[in-house]
Amino acid sequence: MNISCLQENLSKGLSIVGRSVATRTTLPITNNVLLATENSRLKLAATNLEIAISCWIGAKIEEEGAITVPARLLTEFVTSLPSDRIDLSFAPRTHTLQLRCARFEARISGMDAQDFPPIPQVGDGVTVEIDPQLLHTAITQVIFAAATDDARPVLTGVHTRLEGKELTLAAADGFRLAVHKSSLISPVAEKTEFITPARSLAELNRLLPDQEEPVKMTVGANRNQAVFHLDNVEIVSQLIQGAYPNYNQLIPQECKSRAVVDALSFQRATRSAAIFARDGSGIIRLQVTPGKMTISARAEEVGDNLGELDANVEGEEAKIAFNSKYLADVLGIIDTAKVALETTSASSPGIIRPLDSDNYIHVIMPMFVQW
Amino acid sequence: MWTVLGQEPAVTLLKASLDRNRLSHAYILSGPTHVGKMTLALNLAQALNCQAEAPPCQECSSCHRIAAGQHPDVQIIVGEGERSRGEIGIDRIRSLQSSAFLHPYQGRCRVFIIDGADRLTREAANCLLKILEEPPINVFFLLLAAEPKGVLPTIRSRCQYLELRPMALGKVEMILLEHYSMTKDMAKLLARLSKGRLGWAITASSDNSLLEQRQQRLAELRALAKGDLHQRFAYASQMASQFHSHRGAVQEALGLWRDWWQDLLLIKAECPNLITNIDNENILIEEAEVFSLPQAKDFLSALETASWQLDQNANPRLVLEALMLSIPPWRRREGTEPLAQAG
Repeated sequence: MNISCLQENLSKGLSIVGRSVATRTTLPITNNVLLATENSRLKLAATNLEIAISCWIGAKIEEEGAITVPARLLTEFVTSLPSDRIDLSFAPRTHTLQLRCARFEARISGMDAQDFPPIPQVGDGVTVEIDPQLLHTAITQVIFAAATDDARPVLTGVHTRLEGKELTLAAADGFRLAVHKSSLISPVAEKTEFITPARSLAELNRLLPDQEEPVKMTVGANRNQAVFHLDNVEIVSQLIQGAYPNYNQLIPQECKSRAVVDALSFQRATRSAAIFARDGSGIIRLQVTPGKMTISARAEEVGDNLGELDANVEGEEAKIAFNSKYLADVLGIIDTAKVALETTSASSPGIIRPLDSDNYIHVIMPMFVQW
Repeated sequence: MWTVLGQEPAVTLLKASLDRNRLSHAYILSGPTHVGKMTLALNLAQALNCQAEAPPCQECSSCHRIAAGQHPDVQIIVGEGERSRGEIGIDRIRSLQSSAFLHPYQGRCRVFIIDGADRLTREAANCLLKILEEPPINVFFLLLAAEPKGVLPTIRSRCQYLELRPMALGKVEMILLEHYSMTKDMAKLLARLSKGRLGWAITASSDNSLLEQRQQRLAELRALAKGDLHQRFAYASQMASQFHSHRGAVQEALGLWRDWWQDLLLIKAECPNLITNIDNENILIEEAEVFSLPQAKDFLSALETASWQLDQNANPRLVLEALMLSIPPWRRREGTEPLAQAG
């Protein structure tokens, strides 16, 4: 292999694929990054066997070839180089990658590219196209609700459903549920459901803001993998096997009380209540009375606080208590000016949804408290 | 082709289940070290992921990767380091759990080989229990255990149990002659020393230091029989200090010593064709004249007791010193002929 490329391109590419380099692994070669020439570009790829990211950067190729080298070492070295042209060459016999940039030079011992786990190819299957900004919003609004512990593996993923022209993402961790609907660019041939690990979607989400072309997503026919094609980047994610709970039956169909409040003030009041809630098991109490909503928290031997908001109330008066983190999380991602809080009783789930929008719904289980 | 040799019963059973698609999701493969547990486990993993028609073919890329330990869907979980006595902690099992629920990366099935299921910590074992109870589809667990009693009973009851037994010595010898092109003497010696564990014989054949180490150890141990109490106690304290960091090495030395005395006993009983240390037959015959049959028998049982006591966590120094005291005195007995010389 004998190529040259720009330091900033290589550095950027390495930082993209570096996110999927394995950290603790039983397969040492997954600590490496694969460098290979492909169609007169340089392909960088890394995988931790759950997510694989490939990235193509422009390069001048004099001789084709492929090698893998330790990702951290290469990334750190390339980052430290001046912004200039880098010449990369590697001798297959010694498995050593040689870098030369300005007046710097390095040799890194690598491993045979043949031993690198092949990046899965997702050929036939269901393919859809999505607007990148829409997808970004959708992922941002559900991903935080996915479970982080492995007690129930399916809940660490985000349930994805493609039906007609609709993409539905849903995540839940047993205490809360977030469901987001958005539209696809063209309708999908068959209804498709699968569970993507939340970690993979988080990586995808980091790259979406810079994306201009529609994102092409393909799900393998046997539902093993999903691949996301971005500009010059490809993310392949293993899918989680198992049956996702039927979350639709968890969403209350009607409510007895509905309060519409200003989203920003609600968020601010929640934040100040959360300070007191910290020492009081995270409990925030919401009370809805005609024309207003009060948000309070108290901690024994610490103190208490009370915030009041103007509210447009329909239906009965209501009381409900939530965990401050769950409330703060959902208010943090809602981008409309007003939000609605819908409740039925102090012991049944509460719903938060942005006003004038049918595409997002967030259900939070209440906490049981003495009023 | 199944590369594991001499384990026909286990292979036949697995093959039949594989053909009928009725494999259990979890197996315990038990048997002494070097008997072929890992080879069998890798073979099964290959068979499950092989791309050819007669799995495992040993020729497709999947089979090659598994044999080289590079297949993304076949994870081998081993204990960490000598310091924690090679225990497998809960972290390893947790990470196993999260990857078990992902679809296979490259092959058809995910296979987790836990090398040392008897060395799982209690927490790790309980964590594993959960996934063994409700395994995801296309995931197989192969638990290798030298001491099946060390595996948590609740885990044992959720796995199918396969016992691998040491082979007949003649068979080991034959395999060594045929497949590893050894000289007849070497094959015979290694077969005897391996006690039917083919893996050991193969390792020893490629690693000369194993045999050299054995010779050196034997020389040391033999010297003890002639030495005075001072030397014996010095050796005991040296071994005892080793015991904390290197449990296995001490037991290994005792095993070597046991074989030696067993050989002495065999020679005294006129069965020289059964001895293990055939390369030292002359020395054995010489030494056999020094000790009487009851002495050899008593010391052999003292060795057994010591090894058992060490396993029970008795104070290693005390156990070894007591053992040193029971070495029979070295004196050439006059006028006593070897037993039944006339016959």
